[in-house]
Amino acid sequence: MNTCERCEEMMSAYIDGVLDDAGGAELFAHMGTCTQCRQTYAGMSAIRTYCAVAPAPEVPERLDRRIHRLHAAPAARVSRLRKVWTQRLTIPAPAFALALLVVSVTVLATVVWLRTTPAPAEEQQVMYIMSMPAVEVEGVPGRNGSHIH
Amino acid sequence: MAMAMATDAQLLDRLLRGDTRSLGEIYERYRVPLFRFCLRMVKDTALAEDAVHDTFVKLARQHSGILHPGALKSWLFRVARNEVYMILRRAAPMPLEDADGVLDPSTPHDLLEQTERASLVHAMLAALRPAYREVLMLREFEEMPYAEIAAITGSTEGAVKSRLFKARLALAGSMAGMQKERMR
Ligand SMILES: [Zn+2]
Repeated sequence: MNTCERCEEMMSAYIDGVLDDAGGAELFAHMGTCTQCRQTYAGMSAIRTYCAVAPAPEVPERLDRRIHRLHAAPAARVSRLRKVWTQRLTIPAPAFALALLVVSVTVLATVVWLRTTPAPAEEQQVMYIMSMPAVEVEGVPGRNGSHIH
Repeated sequence: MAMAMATDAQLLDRLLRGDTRSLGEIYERYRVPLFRFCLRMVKDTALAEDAVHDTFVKLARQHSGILHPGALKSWLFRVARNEVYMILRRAAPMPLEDADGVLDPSTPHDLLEQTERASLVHAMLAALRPAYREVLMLREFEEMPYAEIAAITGSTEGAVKSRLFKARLALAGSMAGMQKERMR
């Protein structure tokens, strides 16, 4: 790296205020004798000046509105949910009650059926019991409907 | 007596406690710098809008992930930068950060000379590749130190320093070329 290249790197660091004193002394000593580096430094410094005076872009109103909707959203969403919830509970109440009744009866019937139906492991035993002659107990007919006399 | 403006840490604290109005205040504070950054990076108003909007969507949802309350500005720029790079990658599926050269080849060749149509700064920034444009913007407009720029861009301070130098050198060269053209 020659002196000019090293000085170009130092210019950028100097503009950012991170060049040490020794580097600064070397840089300005070189620029005193090198037209090329003086021009480069003028160009690099101009970038900062141009950026400082550049007008900020106009932020579109549409973006402002989108962001506003964003932070206004949670409250709006809650009230919307509340509305939907209320509507669903009040307007189709009879249908909802009927559906609830059907589901309850189905669940109840399933529970009763499960309690009366033996588990698969018990099936062999049930078959055995069924193959046995039914015993009539105090006038109650046997399981297979036959009577032992 | 005028009320003191809330600090970033106070706004973030309010947001963490569920006060969504502070999101609006944070937006008011950073709408211009964030929009400028996104606009100069993606070079399209609608896409820049999307990038800023999505940044605030993430702020609304993921603000609990900002561990250091003083790091709100860096967090916003880091997220905005991610949004910008997603947009740039969709537009040009090529390596953006490791590409050779400082000047962006996708920029019209004579853009640097179109100072009547676009401001000189706009033209200068547009001429740089994204990896150089972002560090120059964060340094010149946001006056961020190298360490903060490195944190935002997922880079090192050394790389930031080097990119700033190369960006300035390339632009200084372009401006010198323009002057020579005009003097002819
Ligand atoms: Zn020199």
